[in-house]
Amino acid sequence: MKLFVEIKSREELNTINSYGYVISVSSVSSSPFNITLDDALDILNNSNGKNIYLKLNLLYHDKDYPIVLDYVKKMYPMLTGIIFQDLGLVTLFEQNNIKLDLIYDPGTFNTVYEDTLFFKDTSISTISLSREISLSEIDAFLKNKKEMCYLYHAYGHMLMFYSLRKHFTNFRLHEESFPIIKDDYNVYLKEETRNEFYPAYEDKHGFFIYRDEVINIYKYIDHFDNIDYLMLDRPYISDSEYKDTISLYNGLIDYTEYKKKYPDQTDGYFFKVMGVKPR
Amino acid sequence: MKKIELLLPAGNIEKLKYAITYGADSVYVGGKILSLRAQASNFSLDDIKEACEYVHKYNKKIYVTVNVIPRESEIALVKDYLINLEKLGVDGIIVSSPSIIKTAKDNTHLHVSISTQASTSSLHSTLFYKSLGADRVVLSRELSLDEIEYIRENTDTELEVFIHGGMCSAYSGRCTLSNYFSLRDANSGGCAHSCRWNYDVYKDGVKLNKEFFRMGSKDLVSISEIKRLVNMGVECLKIEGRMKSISYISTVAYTYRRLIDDIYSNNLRPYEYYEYLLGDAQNREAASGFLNHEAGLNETLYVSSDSEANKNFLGIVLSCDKDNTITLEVRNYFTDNEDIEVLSPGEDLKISKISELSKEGERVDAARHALEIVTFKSIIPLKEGDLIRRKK
Repeated sequence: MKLFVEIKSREELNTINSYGYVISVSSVSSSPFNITLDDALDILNNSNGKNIYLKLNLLYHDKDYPIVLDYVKKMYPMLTGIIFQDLGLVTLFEQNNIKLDLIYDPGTFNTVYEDTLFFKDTSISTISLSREISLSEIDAFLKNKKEMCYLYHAYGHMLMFYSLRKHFTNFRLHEESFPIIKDDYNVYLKEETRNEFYPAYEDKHGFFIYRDEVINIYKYIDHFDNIDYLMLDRPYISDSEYKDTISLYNGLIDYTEYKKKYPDQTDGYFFKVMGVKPR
Repeated sequence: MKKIELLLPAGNIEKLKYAITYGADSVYVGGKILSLRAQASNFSLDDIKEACEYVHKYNKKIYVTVNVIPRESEIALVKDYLINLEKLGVDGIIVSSPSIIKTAKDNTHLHVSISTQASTSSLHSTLFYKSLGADRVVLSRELSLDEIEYIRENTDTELEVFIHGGMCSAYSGRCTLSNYFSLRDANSGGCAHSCRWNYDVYKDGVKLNKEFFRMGSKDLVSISEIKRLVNMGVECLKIEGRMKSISYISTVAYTYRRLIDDIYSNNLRPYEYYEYLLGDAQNREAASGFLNHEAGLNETLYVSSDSEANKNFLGIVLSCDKDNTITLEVRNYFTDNEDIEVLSPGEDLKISKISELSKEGERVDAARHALEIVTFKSIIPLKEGDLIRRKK
């Protein structure tokens, strides 16, 4: 399996060892560490054959496509691929004869192997497995004949809410004393009955909430022999922890030592039984 | 020009009949498996057969929601289920899972609508689904009228637009608050509506809000937007609410039916008239969502999410004698001599009055209990199935 990591600078491209390097770019991506188009071009122009992927993690409306297309054209052909969740991009790139490695990463979808049969005749090369399914469901998914490449989010805070609504801005209109909160990545929501703090931010693209917990599937890495790519998500992770995690997945740090340093990480939905009725 | 389709939800066979009677061109129902709205009563295959026979008798259509994101334990059920639906006479299915779309296209001739769970928010996304066999796309509820019109002008794919009912606060299908907080899978029909819960906002350990921070959406209502949607040529207008009551389904169907028919006959009345027809059926705060502008303060629900039960729906007419003696199945408390409004399918709103209220042959001063049978004299004739509500 090959590793995808998120980078914030050219310096990280040169110092981090990975198969794929993911960049998030202002105006077309949403991330706590977006870089400018100029910085993105600087990375691409100095990539020296490394695989650079652009994260287009939004649901775009028609008014958004011209700028997405403009950015992608400026990065093309140095760019290796796109990690995206808006299927309209497949049409956009086909119409504009842009041939990139397309990784469809909708987060909550792609729960069963049969989903790959839908996408295998498109220009999408890779789909991500849902982050909501159990380890046994992942086993069942991966045991089948491989029709496409697969990606799994192995590590990080999981996004659990994506809205076009500007909830902080709207709330400030409701409650005058509430501060202006925009592009601020040090804000947390707390549900009234839970002593948990969920990273949340608002930017020009909408409103996003992450889980408080950090998921790390390294303990179960043997189950992922048949997967092509593992993604290490970076939002709300400190630089030092992120680098330690990359070292862990590159086999440079012993898991026992890593676990001592980061004891509170979880395995997400691997062993949770999801239902539909109140419990 | 083909007339726009008014699509109503039906949580059970009784609601389905009311939806059709009160003006739906088509209905959508959930089966016992593979459908969201897990807590709606949902239809067995026998129920679906009965429903198909009923709607087709009136030249209407029925769609079955197969809109879960299936899990490993469910996927083996899909093929046979879809084939059975086709055999039973179902006109189409509403789907969001790629695997279910693929199975439907490979094994049936069912009309396939891409569910709003897929959050199709652009022409390009619409074209993607069309290229893979979708017959219709239910557009994302985050689109404005201008954006819908742009899509309409640039594709011949059938378009369906939500016009009324509950709204997700997040892009549909992209929220797992419920999964995390309650282990209730939103994409399997278990949404706990966690976006409507109470939150505090913290920065550097300091609470920033005074009242609870909330993210819930007001319901969608779009009386004044229908004419434009009709004129731009979308194929279908959709009402949300498979778990809603008979009075809700009937009143909403009745209102939008009158509105659409009036548009087509160039007899559009002031929008206040149709808002009045809706009456208390809309028992949560409502706004026009994203249709006119980006949803903001006015589209967000900051009061408690608990909706008050509608107590102005008084009952359903069971029969009317020649002397206008009405037999009524009671739904809410009312007294003798109250003024009432009558919703009668295909007719304008009528006004009448309760008089000589009786139960089991004895005069009573009030109808006190839901589902009891009473009689009263009306000043105008009513029909079986008419709905009676308290006059404002």
